Amino acid sequence: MFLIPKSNLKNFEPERCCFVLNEFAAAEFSSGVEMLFAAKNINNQKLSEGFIRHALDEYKHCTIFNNIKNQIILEYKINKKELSFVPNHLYNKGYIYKDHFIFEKKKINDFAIFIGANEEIAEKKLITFANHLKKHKPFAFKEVQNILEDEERHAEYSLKFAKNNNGFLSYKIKVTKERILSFFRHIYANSLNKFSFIFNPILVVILIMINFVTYFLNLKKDTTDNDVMKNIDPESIA
Amino acid sequence: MYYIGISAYYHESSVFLTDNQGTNCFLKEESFSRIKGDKNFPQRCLKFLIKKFNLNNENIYFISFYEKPFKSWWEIFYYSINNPIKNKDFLIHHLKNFNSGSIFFYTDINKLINISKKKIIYSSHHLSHCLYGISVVKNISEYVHITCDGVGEGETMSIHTIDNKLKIKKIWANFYPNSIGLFYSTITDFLGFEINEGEFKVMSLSSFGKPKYEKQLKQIFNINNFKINMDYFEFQKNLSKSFSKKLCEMFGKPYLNLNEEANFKKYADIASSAQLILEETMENLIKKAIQISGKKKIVLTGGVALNCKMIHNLSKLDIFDELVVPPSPGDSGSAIGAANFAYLNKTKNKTLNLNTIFLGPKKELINDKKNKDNLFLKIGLTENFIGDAAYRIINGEIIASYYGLTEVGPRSLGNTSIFCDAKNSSSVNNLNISLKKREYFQPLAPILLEEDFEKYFSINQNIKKNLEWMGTLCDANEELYKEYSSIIHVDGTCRTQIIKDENSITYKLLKELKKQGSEILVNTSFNISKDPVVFDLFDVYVNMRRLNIKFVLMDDGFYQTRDI
Repeated sequence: MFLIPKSNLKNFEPERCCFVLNEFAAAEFSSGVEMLFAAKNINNQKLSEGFIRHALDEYKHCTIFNNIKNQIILEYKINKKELSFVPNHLYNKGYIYKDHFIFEKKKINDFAIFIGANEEIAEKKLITFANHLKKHKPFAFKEVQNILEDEERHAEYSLKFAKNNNGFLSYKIKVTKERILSFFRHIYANSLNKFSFIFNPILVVILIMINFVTYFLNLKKDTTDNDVMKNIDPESIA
Repeated sequence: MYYIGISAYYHESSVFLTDNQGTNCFLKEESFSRIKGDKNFPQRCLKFLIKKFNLNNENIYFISFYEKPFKSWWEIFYYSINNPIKNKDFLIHHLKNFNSGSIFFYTDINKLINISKKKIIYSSHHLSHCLYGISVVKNISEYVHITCDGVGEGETMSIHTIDNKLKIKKIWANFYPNSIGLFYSTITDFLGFEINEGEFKVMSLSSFGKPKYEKQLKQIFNINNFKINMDYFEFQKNLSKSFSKKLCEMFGKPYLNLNEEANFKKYADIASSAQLILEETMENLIKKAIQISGKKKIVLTGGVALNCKMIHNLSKLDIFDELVVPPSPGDSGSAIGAANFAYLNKTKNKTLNLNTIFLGPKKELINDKKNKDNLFLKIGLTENFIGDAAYRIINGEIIASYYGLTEVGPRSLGNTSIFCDAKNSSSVNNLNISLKKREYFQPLAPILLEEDFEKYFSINQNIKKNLEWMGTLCDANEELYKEYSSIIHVDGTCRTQIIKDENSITYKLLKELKKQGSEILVNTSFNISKDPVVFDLFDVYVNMRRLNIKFVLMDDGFYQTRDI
């Protein structure tokens, strides 16, 4: 998992825990998709195979998080539809960019640094989360421990690759830069909803104005059309 | 010169390229992004096409979008703006989406390819459905074309006729919010399934229940005049749920856990009632279409047409001579309709001539040969590699298929499938529950040679054509219960596919299987729950590893995954 989940747990509370597990699953799945894309597009068989292995791990982790979540849902009889894992929501949650994969925008060395630095951050987040599980859900704790081992390995491989392909100073600077960027990306992602408090009242005023205008509109709907192809303007969007 | 149709922004995005001279390429954005149901502008599909077909302003006649973007945006907005305060959440979301939606389609296209504005044209939503529908039938003037979906440019149902000179007439339409599609989606939502994804689960679930809530649901949707009672719905104002408190007062708590018996029984009854309302509504719609048009042959398109249980039950009413539902009747298939619109615009008196339902790219166009060698190992027990595959299947193995042209539509029709022997109930269960992680109440689909169909199944002749692409259910005969009972749904039906093309590998595989003692395979799409169907060899490899499937049948041999 090198895409960092957007929430974490302060105290163990089953419903909140399920939401966090859902975020972890989303981050893992998205990382899997990113790694699979990298595997397809790297012109080096060994690296491609490494990316495939990494992708398989990420998909496996996603399944594990979803399974733990489902067990908690069953145990505590939680019925929230928002807890279902829907891949299409990954775009809106910001885990995947609509117009590009991370691999497309970074050189292989920078990509490795991105993965390594973010795997470490995600790992720390997962350790905090695992500690909550240790007390309340020991069965899940063991599985998360296995995931942690994988994450550690991913970070190690990526940073080792980056170290070998960058000078010492350049490596240090890039890793530090990536850590700072991740920190700000995280703050930005978490504050997105807060902007709506400012803009929504303005939009409501606009809506009331549109409502006033549409009140006077009397738009007819045609239930028939004698020659559809003749009457349609192909260049028009309305 | 190419015609390109595009469907995007609301449902799974797709692109169809054709020159109407044998070159066809249907692609879904989800195949590239690996996000199931990806509805974003299909930039990855287009990049692929630009590269593979060397597309530029000179070799493209038209790029046609499947609907009128502004009209589509406005019609829904116009309904909700009646009450801007109550509906503010929905309206604000809709406003914010203005610049990220289809209205800026031309801008999105131009980021990828520099193309003259005159070459970008816009069809109309239901017209695109209709123009896709005509590509699967001959003598189109004999048919009346019905489209029924959630909503498209404000229309929810429409009836068209087309004469021999290709003059298209719209003879009736129904409008938002009066939508049987949105009614069914709302029930899907109430039962805890995802809208646009879980409707087929509701359909499967309905077979386990009785329509106990028929009367109540008829207060909500009038099956005679197709009007909806909006007191029970919130899709016009709420982004997270589409039903109102009043529906909860009628049915109790939503989103209950189906693993508890009492919940399952209750939800099955609700699903069964909703299914009945859908079927009775469609019966009346078809009768109306026949009455206005005077034609008794029907082409049905729109997302609602994906309900194959409905098609099966309608066929028993004997109200039409023929009913055809194309393989991808939803919005995704409308990319083909949009391309047809472009072609019709150019020629004025001709439509696309598509002789196959396999309109996707060849595997060689997608893949580099070296990847096959890197990821897979050819295993040849004998020279007859299809016979080897059949042997493995007979011995309980679950195998994958990846050959030929890619299918159009939501169902894998053999070329990118997972197969097991339908006789072997443990393999069937393993495939359904353990591997595919499907709900236990969802049946798997059988596939067999056309010549064996009548031995095991019965179907009314008026819908038989749909069996070629799993477009309908059929009834299981006694013979099927003897050895293949694990594939029969609780209501005695199966979503069967028949294979006619003697040149296809699936046909040859079924022939080999028959020699070795079994006549029916279970066929399910080659993907994992929540993932799109495999597209390239990397997807094949990763999915096989995730599903723990060892063998895959390809065009040129039988392979197993390498350890990497």
